[in-house]
Amino acid sequence: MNTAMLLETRNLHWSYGQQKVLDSINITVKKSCFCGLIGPNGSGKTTLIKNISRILVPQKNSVYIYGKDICQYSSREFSKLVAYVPQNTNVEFEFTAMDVVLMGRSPYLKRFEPESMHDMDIAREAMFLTNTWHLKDKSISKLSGGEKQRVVIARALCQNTEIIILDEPVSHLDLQHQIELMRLLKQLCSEGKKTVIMSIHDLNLASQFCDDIILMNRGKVFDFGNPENIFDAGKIKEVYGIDVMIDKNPVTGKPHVIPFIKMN
Amino acid sequence: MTFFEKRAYYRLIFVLLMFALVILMIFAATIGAANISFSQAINILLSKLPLIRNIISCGYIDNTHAIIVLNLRLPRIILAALAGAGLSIVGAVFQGIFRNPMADPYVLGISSGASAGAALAIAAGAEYIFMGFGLVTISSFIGALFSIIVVYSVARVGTKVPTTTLLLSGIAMNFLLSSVVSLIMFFNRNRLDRIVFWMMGSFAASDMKRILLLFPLLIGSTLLIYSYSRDLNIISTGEDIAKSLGIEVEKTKKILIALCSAIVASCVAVSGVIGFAGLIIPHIVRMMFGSDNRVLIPFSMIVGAIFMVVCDTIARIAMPPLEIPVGAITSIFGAPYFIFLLQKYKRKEL
Repeated sequence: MNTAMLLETRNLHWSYGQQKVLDSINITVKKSCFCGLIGPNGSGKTTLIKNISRILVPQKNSVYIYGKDICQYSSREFSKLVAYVPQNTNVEFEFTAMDVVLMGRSPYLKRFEPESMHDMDIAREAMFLTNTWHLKDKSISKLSGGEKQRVVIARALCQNTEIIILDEPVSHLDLQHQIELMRLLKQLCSEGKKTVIMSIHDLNLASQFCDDIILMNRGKVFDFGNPENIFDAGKIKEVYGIDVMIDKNPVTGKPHVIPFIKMN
Repeated sequence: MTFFEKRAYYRLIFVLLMFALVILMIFAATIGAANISFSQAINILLSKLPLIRNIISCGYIDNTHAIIVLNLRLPRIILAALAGAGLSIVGAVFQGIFRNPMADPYVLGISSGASAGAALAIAAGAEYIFMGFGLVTISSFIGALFSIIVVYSVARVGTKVPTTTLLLSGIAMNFLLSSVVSLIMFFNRNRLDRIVFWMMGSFAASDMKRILLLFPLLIGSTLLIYSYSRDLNIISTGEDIAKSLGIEVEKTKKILIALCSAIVASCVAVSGVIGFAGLIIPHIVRMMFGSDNRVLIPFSMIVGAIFMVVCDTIARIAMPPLEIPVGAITSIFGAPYFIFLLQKYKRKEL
């Protein structure tokens, strides 16, 4: 077992009733890797994310973290190892952003133990990183979609886990916040503080920031590798069914996907 | 400001609310149909306090008056406070686990479930006592548990419980169970008065025995529920997130639902179906002190007790010598508030 290998799936299957959603998924994610999960709608990205973050309970012996089947971790152990950020969060109640971020400390607190100054410091740092400190006293239900998303990411950072798994975190954000968030996640990975797995629709954002890309199609891993390898006109055509041109980003030198659009 | 920073403030408010409740209960004991003066009622109450009795001389006490205050009014006031506290806590917890601010034991048909269970037991003549609990109470608990499970499974869509399906399945449950109770009444006319009491909600038949049934159960369940209050905060922001934060969501929900059913069942068993307290009180507390369940649950308990004592006192004294069912009073406050909330959340869901 390679110690650099943090998360691994071995022949992972998942079905909702009769419908097969994941079909023998084999991926490996290295420590401190920023891993992007791409693929068309319905290709199984969200289900894969929910399996590896144990929101859905995967079959035994199919998902491993540190070489240990994730079903064998206790709920609390697992919550100190993996943080999950859902696609969208709707909170009906008037919690302040600070309250929501502090919930991320829950795995570290005993049943009747209130948050301490130490927890507050961790929350403050997470809110500075996600640029949400100015929102701390506002009610979460009154925030915009993008602000809410950043607060939820601050909560995940506050959870102080090795791995953060995010389901399309940038879809609701404007361009500036998209870039800021991607940069933050990238920075956390390259500083060796976090390992990030995220699903993302924007191929060019994925190409610019991610170290590794998992390309999914119809419940299977179509291909897995670095952006230069994955962003290939033939592969994109086969998975997404559209013709694209692959160019090079003039600044970063990373592949840039340009769809051919015919105007009648 | 977070819970951590405001703990001292919350403690102070909690003590003040407790104090207000005690004053209110004493005050309520001094008013009523029998013409007993305020000072005399106070004297009667003080004469029963073990320490003060020896210090202050209480003067002349009319024996009949003492019986009215101590044996009729006081148990009733205590029971009203307990039931108000219980129903409000249940409302707060349901709103959290269903992530739906419209949840309430009455609206969701849980109270009807409990009353149908109780009515069935009475009709069957099963008024035995089993390990200190009447079979009526046990049957009422089963009824409450049954209806919450049915309503929840009908209402939920995936892991979400949308307001519309939740309210509709609650209403359907209410219809079904009220017709069950009506049928039971129809076939058991000789026990009609006892069953009617469960349907209308009243504290008229209060005694120490009922208090002794409700009090330990309520305190025990509330402490257990309170120990889950931070988990409840997180569950109320989303079940997936709660799982990711290491909470065993399904287990927690089951425990909370069982505890709530026990509270509702014992409230219904001692006082019948009283509506809307569980809806209004947590909302008022949330408006004033925020949504943190560590504050919401204890505060709802006290404010709910205050609310119910006020409603029951109105029920007692508004039209002497007649008595209005207390359920009618709470509904007069509660139903318009319910409609107001529907208006408010309707906009959000569109």
